[in-house]
Amino acid sequence: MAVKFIRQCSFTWMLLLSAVVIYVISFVGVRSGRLKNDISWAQPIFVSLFTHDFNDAGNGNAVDDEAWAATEEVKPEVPSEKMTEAAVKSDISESGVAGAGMEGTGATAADEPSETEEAVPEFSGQVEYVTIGMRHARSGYYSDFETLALTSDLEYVQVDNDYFSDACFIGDSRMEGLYFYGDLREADFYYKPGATVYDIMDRKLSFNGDSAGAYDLKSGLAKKQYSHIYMMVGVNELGDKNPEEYAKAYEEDIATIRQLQPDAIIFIIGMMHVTTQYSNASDVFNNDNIDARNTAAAAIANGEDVFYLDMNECVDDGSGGVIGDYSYDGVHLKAEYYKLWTEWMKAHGIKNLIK
Amino acid sequence: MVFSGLEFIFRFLPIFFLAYFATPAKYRNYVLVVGSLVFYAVGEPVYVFLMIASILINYFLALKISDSPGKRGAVFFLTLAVGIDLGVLFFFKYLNFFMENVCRLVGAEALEIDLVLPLGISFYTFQIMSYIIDVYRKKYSACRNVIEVAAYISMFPQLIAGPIVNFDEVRPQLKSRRVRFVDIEWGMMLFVIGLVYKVMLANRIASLWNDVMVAGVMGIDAAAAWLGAWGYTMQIYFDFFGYSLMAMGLGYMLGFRFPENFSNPYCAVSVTEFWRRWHITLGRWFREYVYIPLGGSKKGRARMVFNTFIVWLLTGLWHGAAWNFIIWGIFFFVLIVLEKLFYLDFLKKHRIIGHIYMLLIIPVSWVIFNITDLGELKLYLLRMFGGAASLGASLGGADKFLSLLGSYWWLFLICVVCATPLPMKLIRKYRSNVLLKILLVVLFWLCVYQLTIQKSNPFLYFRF
Repeated sequence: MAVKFIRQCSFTWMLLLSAVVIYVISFVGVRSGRLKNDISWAQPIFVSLFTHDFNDAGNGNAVDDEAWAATEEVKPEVPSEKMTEAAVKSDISESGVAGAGMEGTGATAADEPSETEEAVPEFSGQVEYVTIGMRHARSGYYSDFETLALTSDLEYVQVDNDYFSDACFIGDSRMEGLYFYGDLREADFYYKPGATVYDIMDRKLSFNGDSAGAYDLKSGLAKKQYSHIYMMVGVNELGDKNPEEYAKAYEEDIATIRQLQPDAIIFIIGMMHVTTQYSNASDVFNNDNIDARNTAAAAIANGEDVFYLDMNECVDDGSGGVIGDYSYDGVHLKAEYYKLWTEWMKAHGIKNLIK
Repeated sequence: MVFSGLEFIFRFLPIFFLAYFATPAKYRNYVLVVGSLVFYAVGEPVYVFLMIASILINYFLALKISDSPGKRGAVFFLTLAVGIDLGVLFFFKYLNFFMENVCRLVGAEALEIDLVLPLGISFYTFQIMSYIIDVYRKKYSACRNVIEVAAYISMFPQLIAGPIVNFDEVRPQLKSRRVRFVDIEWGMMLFVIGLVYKVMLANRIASLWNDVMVAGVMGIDAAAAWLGAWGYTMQIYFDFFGYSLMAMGLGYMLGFRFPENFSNPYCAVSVTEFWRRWHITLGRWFREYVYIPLGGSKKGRARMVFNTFIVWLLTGLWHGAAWNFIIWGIFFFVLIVLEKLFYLDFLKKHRIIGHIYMLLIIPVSWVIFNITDLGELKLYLLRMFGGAASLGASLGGADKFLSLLGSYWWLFLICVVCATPLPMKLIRKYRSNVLLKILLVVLFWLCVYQLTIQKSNPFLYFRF
């Protein structure tokens, strides 16, 4: 019978044999401590082998318990450093926001610069922070927070499309959407769906509609000098690492760009939110996680040649999410709504960049 | 549990097969029933009792029909059984849709009951009804062994997505079956091929349609709208066909032969032919239990048109309780009647024209099938048929189309080749070739790899 089986069922035993081999390798890996021991009904032992989920540090997964703990300790320190500078002003903003709680943040961000314009004629150029109602983390990818970064305090002016003729936009699929549908073709666009803060400097990107994907950002930026550079990434990696590591990688990206573009003004655009419905349904892909990471990234802005922009007010539904009708999948705008983003960009030109 | 999941492949299947083959052949039906109930209960811990009740009631009523001395008794029990089966189906699947529309007609506020559609209910209800009706028609006698009836209805390979098996097709095998080594081998291969179709083709090309919908009608031109529709055409085929292949493969391994559910539907040259090749067991069900009892085409042309209308209205509704499914059914009704009355013979003779005709009809039908919101549906169809005048031109011009084409052309090509009879023909021909077997082993692990990375941390593999 066994002989008959081997002769007649060669596919079956090859499949079983390959499974045995993979199970043995995984088992040895787990026993020796090199592979993570993460087995459940839905998770066979070989999963950690396939996903390279090794035990040694550095390559660690974000769901690591230690990373969680570390996050909570480090977290409050990052914004508080910057907070002191903006502390004087935040009195005003707090009084403006506290009443509205979570809901009014988008609107306040818009009013903020004009309010301060009358009181203090000088623009600090700094990112301002407001305290909001405590947002409790729903997953290990971010921690509780109650501080939110607002668009850098600059004198913004209305500009037209030509203003962007020596601008460069860098990002993921949302940036692709802005290129396709934003009617802002004066600028150069580097983008790739799925791009993250961790890989965007090194992976092949699409450039101005050419999706052959043979462009890399470093050599592109080395070839042509821009006067302003805009970057928005982060939505893909909401489920990877934590806000601090995200901001650290962002800072490295910005440093690389700075080397290649010594004279450019760099704008970090905070991630666009997802729709409220989408946000409510996910413990990871939600607007709290986005806000936490945006605030962490805003700390990179130095008030001199790196600034932070938050464009969410132009698509906001009043409760901190993108308006439901504007999106099919909750994450991307439908084609016709990218113009709102463009208009917002045009309302946020900077005077000394106008030629 | 779905067939294309790690849980099913690496937990349920090995345990089930060990138990199945360790049990003497005489008692294997018990293992099959228990295994199937467990399989179902994992996804439907509550409604599994609805299915059990349904099986018991129909088992009992079938015996009553069989044992009724006069016709009147048989009719009574038949009506009772069909009434219960359709009633349950109506309650879970159509009640909300029905009330919503009645309320709208009356102008009242719609009442909505919070109901979840029990998994596979449309499939197993149809299977039960075919059994009851056949017993009434004396096509075969009612089965006195409740385990055999339970195994027939609940058998996990075909429970959730068909094929819709007739009782007499598996009855002899339920009594006694022998599983030969060659059957296990072929069943394994079919299962893996189905898995490859589902995971490597359907799941991947799914993002093409998604990309198109994300951009929205204003973000695509006519070419992109068609490309998206063709992409969805491929997705739905490899999804369903892959699942059916897996079911067939499991059937072989258990000792059953299920009827074929797909026979190269996209090679059809007419809608009439398409529906003889697509979801064959469903078309067969409607023909046997609706079309022919209504008189089929034997009662004159007008009656034939009416009967066809009823069949396609019901076929549309069977696929879902929403207006777009009704439109979808009517769409096929119109085309099938037109073909029958006017140009079916022409299409048969001029096959190239037939293929071009189907290349246009099939994607349109799947668009209607997919978009439930009628307003959106109208806009999408307008875009497909050059409605730029009323919609306004696509905002990105042809950019979206070119970018989609650039990303998907090779996957599309593979799908097109796999939609022809060629791959299965080659596989059948070289089924004992070692190289083919090695290739399938490699593809299997690639599929598992794909499933693994999605499962272990789905967030890492989001692509925005």
